[in-house]
Amino acid sequence: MGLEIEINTDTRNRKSISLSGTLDTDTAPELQEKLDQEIGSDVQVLVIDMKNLAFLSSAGIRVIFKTKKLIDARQGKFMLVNLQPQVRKVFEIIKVLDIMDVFNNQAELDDYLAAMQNKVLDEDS
Amino acid sequence: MSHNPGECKRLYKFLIDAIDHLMVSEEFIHDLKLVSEELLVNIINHGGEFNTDEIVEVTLTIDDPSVHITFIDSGRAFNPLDYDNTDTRKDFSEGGMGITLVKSLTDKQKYARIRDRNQFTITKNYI
Repeated sequence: MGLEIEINTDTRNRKSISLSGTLDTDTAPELQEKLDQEIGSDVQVLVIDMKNLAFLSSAGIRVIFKTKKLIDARQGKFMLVNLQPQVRKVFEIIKVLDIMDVFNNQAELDDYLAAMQNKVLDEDS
Repeated sequence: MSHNPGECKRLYKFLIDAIDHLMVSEEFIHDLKLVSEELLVNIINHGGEFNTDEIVEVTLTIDDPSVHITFIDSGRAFNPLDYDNTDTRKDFSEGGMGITLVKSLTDKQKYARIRDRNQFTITKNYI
């Protein structure tokens, strides 16, 4: 099983990436390359949807964290959604869930993004 | 197996074929694949100046209720168990998580240096 990567531009400064298949030593470089190409300096909010990601190894986690560092450095928001149980387990073992924004499902994420947007509008008005 | 990260797929197939008759859970298979990948990659990354034709020998034995997988390589002496820094690691983009995963997902781990070869065995109980 390989890795399928789908990238969507949700808004001017927000992108979402859906991962399907396996993110391991073999496929992690492919994801890194895609992220290098697609995540420009204008991206402030990045969502990674793992609904169809069946397998994640430490090679994949490195790419994820490298990307999180990049987004954090520009005071952006980096979020994960729809972690499958076996993928969530990997994050739990290496004890990183506390430092990640993880949403159980799309509805939770949508509520959060809406609240974020309303906060920005309130601050602007 | 040759010293090449692309061999992971071949490793997965070997493992799945070997334990197919045990009727273990999907979670068990997943965990075995994950720890095996982490160990193979560790060997490749930490083995030193390897010739890319070097072989990593992988054996699997079943000893009810356990599966034992042994990785043997002729790289420089390297015991992965000495490198678990989960509690102190701050930057996960730098790696080093493999052995943490191996220790959490297996029941026993054993390292030995025998005749200039690293021998690392993991044991996972399926019952």
